[in-house]
Amino acid sequence: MIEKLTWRNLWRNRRRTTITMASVTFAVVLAIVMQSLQAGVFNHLQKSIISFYSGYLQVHRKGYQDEQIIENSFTASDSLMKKIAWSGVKYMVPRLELFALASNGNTTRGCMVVGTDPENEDRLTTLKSKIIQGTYFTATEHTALISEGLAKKLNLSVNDTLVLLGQGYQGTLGAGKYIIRGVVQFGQPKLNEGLVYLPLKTAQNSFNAENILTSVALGLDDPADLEIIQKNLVSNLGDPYEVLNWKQMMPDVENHMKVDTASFYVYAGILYLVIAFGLFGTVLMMIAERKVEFGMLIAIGMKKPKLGGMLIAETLLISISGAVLGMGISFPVVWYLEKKPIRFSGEFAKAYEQFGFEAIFPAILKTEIFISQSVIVLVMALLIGIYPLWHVSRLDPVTAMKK
Amino acid sequence: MLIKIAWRNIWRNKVRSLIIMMAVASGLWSGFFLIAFYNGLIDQRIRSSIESEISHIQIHHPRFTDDYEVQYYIPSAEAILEKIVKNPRVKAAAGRVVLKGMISTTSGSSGIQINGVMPREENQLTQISSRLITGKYFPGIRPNEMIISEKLMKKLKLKLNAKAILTFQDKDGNLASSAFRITGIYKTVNTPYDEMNVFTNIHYLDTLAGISRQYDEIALLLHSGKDVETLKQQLRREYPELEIKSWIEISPEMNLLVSTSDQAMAIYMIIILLALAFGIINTMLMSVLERTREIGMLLALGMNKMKVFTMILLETIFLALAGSPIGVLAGVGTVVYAHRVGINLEQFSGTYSSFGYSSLVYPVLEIQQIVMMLVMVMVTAILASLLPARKALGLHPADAIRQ
Repeated sequence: MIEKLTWRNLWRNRRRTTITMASVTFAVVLAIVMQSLQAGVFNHLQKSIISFYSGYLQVHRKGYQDEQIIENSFTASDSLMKKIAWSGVKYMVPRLELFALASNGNTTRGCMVVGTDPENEDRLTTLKSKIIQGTYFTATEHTALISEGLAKKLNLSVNDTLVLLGQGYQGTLGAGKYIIRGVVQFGQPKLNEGLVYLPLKTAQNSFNAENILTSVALGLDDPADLEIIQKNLVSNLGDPYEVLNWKQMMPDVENHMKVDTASFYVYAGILYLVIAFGLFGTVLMMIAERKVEFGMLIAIGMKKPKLGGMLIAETLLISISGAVLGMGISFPVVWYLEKKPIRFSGEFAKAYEQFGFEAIFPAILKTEIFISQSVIVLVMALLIGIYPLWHVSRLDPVTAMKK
Repeated sequence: MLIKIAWRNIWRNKVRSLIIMMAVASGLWSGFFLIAFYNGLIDQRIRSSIESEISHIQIHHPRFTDDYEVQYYIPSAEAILEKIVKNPRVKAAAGRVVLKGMISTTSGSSGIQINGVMPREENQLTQISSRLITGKYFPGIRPNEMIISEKLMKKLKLKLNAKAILTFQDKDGNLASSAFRITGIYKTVNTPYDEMNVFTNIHYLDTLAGISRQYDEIALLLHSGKDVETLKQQLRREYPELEIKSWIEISPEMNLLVSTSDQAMAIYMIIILLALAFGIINTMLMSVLERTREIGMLLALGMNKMKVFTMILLETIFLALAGSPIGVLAGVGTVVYAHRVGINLEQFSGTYSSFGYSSLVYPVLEIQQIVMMLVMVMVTAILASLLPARKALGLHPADAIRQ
């Protein structure tokens, strides 16, 4: 009987049902879109930051992070590389990093020399896209890429010869002459003022570090797996190695992003509050409108618990169909925002373009977000749905029916 | 006459009127808080990431940052600093002597950057004293006081009150060295920074470096981050021979982070404002829905449709006007309170506030934002009542009464 009554109530006043449902639907859509944007922006920012230089994870000999010298290095054996190639690791970039003096004629500057695997380096940090003059290098060449600031200071350009001199492995003296293949530009002055890339083999030969690496930088399939992969690598590689994630290598950036996440919680809180206000307003109006109806039902002998049950059933039906509809509407919206992300221009775009990134705010399509947000809104709607029950429980039919 | 009817209608159905007032008030309240939090967040970002490390603007001799050679100090720096401090936009400014050098003890030595700072002014600028873990911040008993990091202390097996020798090149290129006594130990989240930086009193270091009462770096902190660009241009015009850089040029990666989050938060704000508008619209729709019968009656009695429309509009305006002072008071009150105590994001974020990184957000509201919010909510409420009022016009009196 109650089911029938509930069903009829919903259809009897369609506009009211629609409005109540719409308030749930809209709440679900906004909550989902906001969360999907947050997750997407975070991912995009993370991707941008790791492509500055670090990668998601780096494997070092233990102690390298604290003391970055060539003696804190390790031998690149096949078995080691196999251990690092954990599932979920997309790219491995072996590097030999050391400090050296770069000179041209009488001018000399200190710089960081990075011996790397050209192909994988480009996949991880998009080095190729940072070239502003000349071309990219290949693994077998005896050539170098030089950062723009350093090139300017040394008055060097493409096809000139760069001389490097520095302390090689085990205290030997390392030196070499290299043809400059390309000039690369970095957004950060620190990198732009003093970075030289060599093919890994060339660097190892020049600095007497045959098969020696100081780090292996890793790209991941899914950045969400960062912590798990890091943990697995730590236990798999054992004591002589350290595995650091980008947050540990850039704690100031991590701090910033943590505050970002925290402030997003505050925003989400305000959104839920606003949604709750909206739902509550709608429900209050619904009660005011149906006062006479409730009074009548009680007067003709309907028991209050039954009336309560009917109201709960109505709320449930309306909220659930509203939430489902909300998910249905969110799907194309989020999908669109993922494929055609919001683009920015002006000052903000400049900040991004300086690093060669796209100034976009992509959303991310994630089932968890859809489910969690709908559940949160549903729970809110049901909690608010308790209020009419309380109202009905103290309803006096005579005063209620008096208009 | 219409005003009278509208007025009576409001009092006749007190519950409904209260609900609409509440919708407007809660909308205003959350809107105020939202905007104030957004403002506070932007401030916090600048404060924590920029103020404590690089300050808003830095001034150097154009050749100084190439190699940190003392001979490229700022000519007549004292006069420049004196003039800058008087600028009303400037909150704090200090001169520094920055030298690349070496710290040595009996147990080893390490390459470092020696920062000669003006104790009082520097603390206003970068709050080094808040990062001390033991000892005192330049007690001023001896001229050769020095603050080093915990990291460096451990590396060189030093202790509080111990002495260490600093060696560096003076203005003429001669090696100078002198003993300094450690009066304080500091720690930040940035270990590589810690290892590289020691602080001494400028008034002692400048003489040793051969540039008595001169600085090679002037750093400025402004009252408002918005003035950075204007002041930078102004200084560039005044001192064309010096290199004047804003934090955006010194650390573009911070700019990237800051502007990404600013933009993302702006998007979230729009989403929340949408939810707010929708909540108000729904409540209004429900309120007119409830009155179908009443409006039908008025029409049947021969009231002009235009008049009914105006009546509904008038009621909404009255209610919105009545609700807004409540919303403004509650909203401004909350913001003032939150501004006084600050909202600490630390518990959500787990940032390392103990080392000088502040995750406190102080919400701020500007007058024009209060006005904007007020106008927005009022317009939303009135627009929201237009749609159902127009619906009322289409009513058939006979049908409407029958319901």
